[in-house]
Amino acid sequence: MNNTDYDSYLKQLDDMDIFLTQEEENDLAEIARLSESVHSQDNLGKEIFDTIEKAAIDSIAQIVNLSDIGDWRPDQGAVVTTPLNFENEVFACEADKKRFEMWEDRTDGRWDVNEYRKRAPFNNAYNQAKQVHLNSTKRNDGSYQDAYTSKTLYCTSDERNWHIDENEQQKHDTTTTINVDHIYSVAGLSRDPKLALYSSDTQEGFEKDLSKVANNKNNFANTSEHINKSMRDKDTLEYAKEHPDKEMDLQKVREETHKANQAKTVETVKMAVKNQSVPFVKGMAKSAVAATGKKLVGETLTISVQEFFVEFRGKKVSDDGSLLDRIKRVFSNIWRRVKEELSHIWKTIAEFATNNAASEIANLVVNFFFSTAKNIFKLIRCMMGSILRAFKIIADSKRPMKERIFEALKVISSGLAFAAGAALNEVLDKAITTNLPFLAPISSEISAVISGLVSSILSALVLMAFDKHKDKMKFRAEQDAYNNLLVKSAARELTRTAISDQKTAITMFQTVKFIEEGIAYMAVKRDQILDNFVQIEDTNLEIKELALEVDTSQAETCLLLKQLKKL
Amino acid sequence: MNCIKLSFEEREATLLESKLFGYPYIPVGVAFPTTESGKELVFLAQFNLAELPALDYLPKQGMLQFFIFDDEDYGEDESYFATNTARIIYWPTIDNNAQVDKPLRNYNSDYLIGNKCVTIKGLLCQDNEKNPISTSKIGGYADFIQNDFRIGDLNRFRLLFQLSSSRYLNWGDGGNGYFFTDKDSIFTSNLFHWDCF
Repeated sequence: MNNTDYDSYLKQLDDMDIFLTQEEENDLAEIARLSESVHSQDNLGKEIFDTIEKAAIDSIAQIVNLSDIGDWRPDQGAVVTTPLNFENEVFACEADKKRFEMWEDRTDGRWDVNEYRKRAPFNNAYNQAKQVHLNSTKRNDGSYQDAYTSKTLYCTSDERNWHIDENEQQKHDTTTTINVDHIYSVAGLSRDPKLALYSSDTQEGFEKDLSKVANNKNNFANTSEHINKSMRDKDTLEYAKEHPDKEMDLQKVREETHKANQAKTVETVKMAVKNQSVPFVKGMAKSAVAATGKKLVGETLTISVQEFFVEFRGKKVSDDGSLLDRIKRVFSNIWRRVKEELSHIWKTIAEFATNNAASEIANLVVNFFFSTAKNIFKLIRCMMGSILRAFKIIADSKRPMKERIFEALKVISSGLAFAAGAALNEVLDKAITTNLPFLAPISSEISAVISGLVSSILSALVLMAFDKHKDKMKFRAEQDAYNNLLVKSAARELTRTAISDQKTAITMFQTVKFIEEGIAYMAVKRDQILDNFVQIEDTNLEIKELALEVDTSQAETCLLLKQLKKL
Repeated sequence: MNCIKLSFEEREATLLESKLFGYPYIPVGVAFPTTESGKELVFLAQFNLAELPALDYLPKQGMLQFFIFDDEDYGEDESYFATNTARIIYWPTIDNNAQVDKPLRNYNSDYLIGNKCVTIKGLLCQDNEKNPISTSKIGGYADFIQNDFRIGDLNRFRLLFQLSSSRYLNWGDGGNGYFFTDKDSIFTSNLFHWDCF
């Protein structure tokens, strides 16, 4: 792309017509009425507009540096089908809508989730994977280990699994019989919104995708027939927590679930690459195309917002011509600045992204952005609804000012994200179809992916921006709360100290009392011991006297014996 | 081996039709089946054999009924024998004067209320032992999701009725319910088992 091309594109901007539909005219009329209402309120005015403008532009300014991760919860539509959007019936394309309808049929029971289990592909995949799993987990003695309880398990046919009861009837033990459990249950997976979103948009394709996730070897775990049946299609970890009587080791269950989750994620990403984004998603996500789109849309939106705020900040409608004239003036100013300020950015990007497919498409995006310049008006019109809603919120005198600012901000930012995605999607689609005919069959997917990326970024942006502002708004309250806590904490410490003093005094008193009592007790004991000593001495004397008597008696006895012998 | 592959249609049915759930055929003067301790069983299905294609190992007429129990195991016994909390009942002759004499509750389903139930039609099919039909069927070979539980003496039992999970009844996580009967003494000695993913 050379400078002549740019000049040519830029010239087209000067030739653009501005037209508004009746609906847009009506919206503008209402904005004008609301604007008058806003200015009639004393406590509103420049401050509010300044705050909103700054926050909105700050948000948009972050586009270029944002990652492409984010879920957006729009009030009124979006162009990227994130899982949350999917559940809220917000779709990027017809294929996603079809996926949603299929998912709804499964969750509402209109389509029997068990149907796929009756088909050979699912059954064959399951049986093969199950057999491989059993072979790989079988121990030398033919037993298995329960992945959740570590208990030993046996095959149904294993004699160790059977016993004879008191009525001499043969019974098997379900607590030792092996079952191969799907950690993520098949029924649960069929209701999983992420899987539904990223899998095929055909019934047959979904069944294959489901089988890949459900029958992945990492989604299998050996457990007892008793636990497997009792668990039904419930979440394994939740079941383990709710049923301590089953003696499932929560750590082991977590490990198994984590392993299954990893496998599920890998399979889901594979599906997303295959079904949602075509092979382009890999390279394109980080390519100059996305960067170009982001930068273009971001900068254009920044200019648009600035111009709108410059035009309407603190001015009454009657100050400077009719509302329509003012809107037209905003548009003209936007284009003037787009020409002057963004041409430099575009040239830089075009020079930067060269010699690969990405750069070619980047050029196409840039080119088409110029040549179909009217799209920018579509983008602005997309914002019109948001601006109207923001005005309504600002005009609502019943709500606190901060709340009004915050809500208006949210609405405008959401509108920006929506508008950016909508515009880019169409631009890319047309660009690819026109300029890369060999990609025409998948142009809608490519454009959906790229605009999806941009919208994801914008979505993340909206969330980040609001989190940021929420934090700011909460700060004062949090500071107050913190100070209160400090005061309370100090009071608590004082009280604790007083209590400690009391406790110490009590302890000392008890100790003294104990010692006093102990001393008295010891004195009594000492007297008793002394008395005992006296008694012992008396006894000793008695014993000695008795011993002397015994000795005397013995001497007399000996003498008598001698006399008897002589006789 | 021949079997009868079953298909279902949700609509009101008469007392004598083949069906899942709803009101079972109970001859006049006969009590509703209960466990040994007197608790009522749950009516699962009945087949008016005259309505179905003929199988050489089944009677050509009469009413064949299957009952389970409302507990965690659907009435499965550790011995697998269906004598108490799961039951197969065969009525060789059908009493056309039989009436519904008591309201019945539904089992594990929001779809089946009062007389509304699922009627059954059968189609004669060839079943393959190595790759058995995995859907609901009468006869043929059981398509076990886990393992064949029949060892030793239990090998004399052949599949009588396999009911796969559907929106009407989900055996655990998409499982199957299996009723077996003694090859040599049909309906007199029966087994019940269910398994799931």
